[in-house]
Amino acid sequence: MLQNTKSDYQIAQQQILDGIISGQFEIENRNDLGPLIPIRLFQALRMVALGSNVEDILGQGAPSLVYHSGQSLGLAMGQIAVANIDKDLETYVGKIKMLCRQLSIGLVVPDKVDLSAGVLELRVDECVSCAGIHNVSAPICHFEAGMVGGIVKTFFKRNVKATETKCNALGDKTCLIRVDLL
Amino acid sequence: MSSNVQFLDPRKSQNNEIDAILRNLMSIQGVSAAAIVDSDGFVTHIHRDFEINTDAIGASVQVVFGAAAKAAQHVGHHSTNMVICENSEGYILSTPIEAGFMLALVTQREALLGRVRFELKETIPVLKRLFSSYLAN
Repeated sequence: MLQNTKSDYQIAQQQILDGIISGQFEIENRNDLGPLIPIRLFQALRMVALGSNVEDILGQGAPSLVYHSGQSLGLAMGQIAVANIDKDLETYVGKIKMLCRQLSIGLVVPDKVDLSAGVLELRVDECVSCAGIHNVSAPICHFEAGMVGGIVKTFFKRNVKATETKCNALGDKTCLIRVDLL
Repeated sequence: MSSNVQFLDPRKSQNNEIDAILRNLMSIQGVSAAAIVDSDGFVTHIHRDFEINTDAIGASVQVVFGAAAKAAQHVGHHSTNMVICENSEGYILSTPIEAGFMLALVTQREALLGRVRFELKETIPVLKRLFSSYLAN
């Protein structure tokens, strides 16, 4: 008998990412409640389950885990957007913007693209993770930074370093993510 | 309000000093990789003898160190200076530098742990000074 080497979380991850990649946003077994959830529930998962609770166990390792998680989503989103675009960055960004809007992640706006310097800056307005959160002391959207890093990495097929340099929760009115192509 | 994020540009900081330090660590018997990992788990500098998934190892180093440091706090050990993973094929040692940056070493089984640990302890103050000056500029 073949042994299933995937964990249950990996099986669930595959199904979720496959659903995103296929553009299938309807969910079975949610006939009455539908596919949408209150943003505060998402934020509880993001900032409590994948935030303070993870921090309780991992301490300074928590942001790495969250960044890495976001990068996985970004790589999956990049796979969707990179198909049939003939390597055109503008088309790619357009598809990413639409996808982020569909998923209610935020309104993605390219702020600066300097390919000769290997630097891109993308704004995430109305960021799903930190909307309505205030008075933090440092940027908290490591998930979105990782996601943007994964998206850019997929297009350029290069290692990247994404850093959140402005955060709505700091009072910056938007989240700004700087991506360095390495 | 401006961000207080501490950003170290990996390309600008790929300088002789860090490279020389990592090269020196690689010359220790049994050491097969030496890497600097930032607070997000990103590998900013690396010297290695074999292929490594840098995204995964960087995040893992931060997560393992963070979990070990938290466990230490639970038993009243307030400061964690080094985490050593003993594996069947060798060791992974990780040590904090400054502002969330870590130095990680991978060794083969035949490495002399005491020697590697000694060299690591000698190296960290040098790296701390280097990173302090980078991050201050």
